[in-house]
Amino acid sequence: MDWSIIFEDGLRTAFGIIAAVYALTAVGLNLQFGYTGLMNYGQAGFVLVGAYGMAIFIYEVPSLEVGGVDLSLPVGFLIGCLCAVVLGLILGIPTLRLRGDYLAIVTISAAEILRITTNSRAAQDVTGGPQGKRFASGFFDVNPFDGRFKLFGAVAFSANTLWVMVWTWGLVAICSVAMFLLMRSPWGRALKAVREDEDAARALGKNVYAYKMQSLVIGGVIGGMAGMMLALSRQFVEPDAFQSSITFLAYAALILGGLARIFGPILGSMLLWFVIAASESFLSEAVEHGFLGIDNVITSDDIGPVRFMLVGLLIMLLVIFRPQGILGDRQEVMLGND
Amino acid sequence: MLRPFGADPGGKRLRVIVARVLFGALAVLGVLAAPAAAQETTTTAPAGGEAATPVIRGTFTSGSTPIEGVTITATAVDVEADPDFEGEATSDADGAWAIEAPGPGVYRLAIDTDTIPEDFALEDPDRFELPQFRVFPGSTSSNAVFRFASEEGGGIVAPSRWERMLNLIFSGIRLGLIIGLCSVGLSLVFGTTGLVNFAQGELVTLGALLAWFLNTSSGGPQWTLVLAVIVAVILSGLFGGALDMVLWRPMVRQRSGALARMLVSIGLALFLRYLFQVLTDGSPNTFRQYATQGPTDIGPISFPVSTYITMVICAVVLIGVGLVLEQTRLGTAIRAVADEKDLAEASGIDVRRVITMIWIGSTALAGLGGIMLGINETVQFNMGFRLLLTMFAAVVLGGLGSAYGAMVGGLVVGIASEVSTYWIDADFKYAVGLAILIVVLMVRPQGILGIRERVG
Repeated sequence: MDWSIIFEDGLRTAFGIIAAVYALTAVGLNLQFGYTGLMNYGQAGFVLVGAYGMAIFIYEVPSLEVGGVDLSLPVGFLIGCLCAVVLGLILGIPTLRLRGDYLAIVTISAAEILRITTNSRAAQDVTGGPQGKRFASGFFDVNPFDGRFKLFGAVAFSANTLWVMVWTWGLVAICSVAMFLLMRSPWGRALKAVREDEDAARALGKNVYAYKMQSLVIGGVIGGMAGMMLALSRQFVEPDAFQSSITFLAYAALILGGLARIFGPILGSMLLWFVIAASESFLSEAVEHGFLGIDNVITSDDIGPVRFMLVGLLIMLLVIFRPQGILGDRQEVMLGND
Repeated sequence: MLRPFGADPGGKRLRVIVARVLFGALAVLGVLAAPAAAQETTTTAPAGGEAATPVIRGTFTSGSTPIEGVTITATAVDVEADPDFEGEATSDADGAWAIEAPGPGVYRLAIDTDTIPEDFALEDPDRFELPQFRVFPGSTSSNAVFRFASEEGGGIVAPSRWERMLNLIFSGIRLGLIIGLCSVGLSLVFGTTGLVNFAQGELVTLGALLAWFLNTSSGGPQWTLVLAVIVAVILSGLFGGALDMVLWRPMVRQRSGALARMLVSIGLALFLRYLFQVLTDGSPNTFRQYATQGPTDIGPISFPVSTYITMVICAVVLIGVGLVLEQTRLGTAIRAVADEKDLAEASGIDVRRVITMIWIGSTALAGLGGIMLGINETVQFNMGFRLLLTMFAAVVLGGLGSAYGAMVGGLVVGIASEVSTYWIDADFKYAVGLAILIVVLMVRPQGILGIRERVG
């Protein structure tokens, strides 16, 4: 048993691309669910349309020279954001006037419809179907980094990984600062009022429907950006990468870190992925070395599922014992209301 | 201010809850660990000769016509037990074939295309082989699927359009009845406790897995299907009751909100689903009696006998549920609690007991639905999860909280998804149900049978 490997694996994932992508996804969810109280269970759908919107555009228009500058990637990024806006409007218009449960069920359904559609043979010409779509964005051509980089002297990242990390964590930082400023503005206070008591907000003359719609769309666009960074890091999109587990893991990260807190989603995502990666590494080490006889109970094939079992347990225990997460404020957390 | 969950200082009670949850989880593990343990022994002693050797099997059919005399070979690609294995089989009068494999691993399966009778052809001529067919450790029977064209070829009469439509409608009713059975409980639980139960899919899977374990699994008692189904349904119901006692009731007592419980149900669903995957190795399985079965015609409708039986069972049980709700004291109490909980409590109904009964009944029905689904398709750890969104669609379509709504919604979604394959790609089958849901919500948010109330 090499405990340092387990710790390094945990750290690598906690700072790596995947944790950054989930942090961004959870920042969007935090706006929708933490601050506005919207039960968006289809964040995976926003992640998907962002990624596919950008990927398909870059695939179709590999270079877009304007004044000697290739604008294919920036325009693709905007297209991805636009797709998320459209999805938000389509989902919000019928459901935001209804009770919260309806939004939950419609969003998760829509995310699933999108995944099934991108996966179908009928859409193969556009989306690439189950084989996915590879695109060349030139994202790594402008990578200024070179060689390998070490974090804390031990955890190494390749130059390309670091390039994606810088952008994704950068987006996380920008969105978090924007969120911090927005939540101190009258707009942010109105969102919280909608969350606390819709009728009261309406009685004060606020257009509750419009506030909810804005929150859903902005949170969705942030989710879309997460999808685009995921797609850029692999230069590839495939339907299986956008399962509804994205939504649930992002919720786990959000609740772990603390709802309605600026650093909640960031801390939550890093911790969640540290736990997931470290436990996966621990399990594979333990199975290999027969630690505590664990190799009699599970085989190396079981490590993936066992990891998800731990996430499920973590969500249950957190909601039962510490619904406000690590950073949350009990007074502000809405999980407990009836 | 909203009251957070667990606001009372009694941390002791919380500890009792977690102890109960863990105990419950262990109990489930205990029930389900047996097949895993049994599989362990079969895989670790392949040379002992006592272990059951896995069988690769399948059925060559074109539509519903069996294809006889087609030769198929299996070659070892990555098989530890016998790296040089080669096996061959020829399909019999029912189109069925089976090759005894030396052990788990990866095989290349290829049809000898010269042996395919003249009247038949593969749907895709390039798909005559499965180059990476995996036999999972512990599985005794692995199904390989090759698709034959069902309309080309002079020897086969293509079903007429209305026959195809009729069969699709029939298949839709079958799916609808199963969805109805699985989602009645989802709707009743929502109506009485306000919980949108994301773990309903896993309750469906649980029933099917229990029945499969009791009936087919090499580590199980190998009971006949009827007995296995009855015991599995009872065990499912008990599991639902236990879940209510150790998890949901304490949470309600702690004044935790519907949202907190919904998130817990998501965690529970993840936990159970992947527990099932670990215990079953993730491979799909079929029930012993129904591994291969030819279709039986009733007029223009052509399905295996098992389909007709499951449909009758589903219909009878659903009618039974309706009768119980309408005619018995318990049913009246359930409807009263669903309608207005406080009023029901004030008029002397033991609401807690009624809710526990609903959990037992709901989980038993979901388990039965899972078994019916497993008989018609395959038993797999994520079968219920794949159905979950369709169940939500059915429940919301019919009207959240209404048991009859779930039945009607189930039929609408089932028929719509099956019949849609007449015009559009079958890939979209489940998307159709969900799309209908979104459209209906725009027009009639309370659902088909729901009562209009002002929301938002």
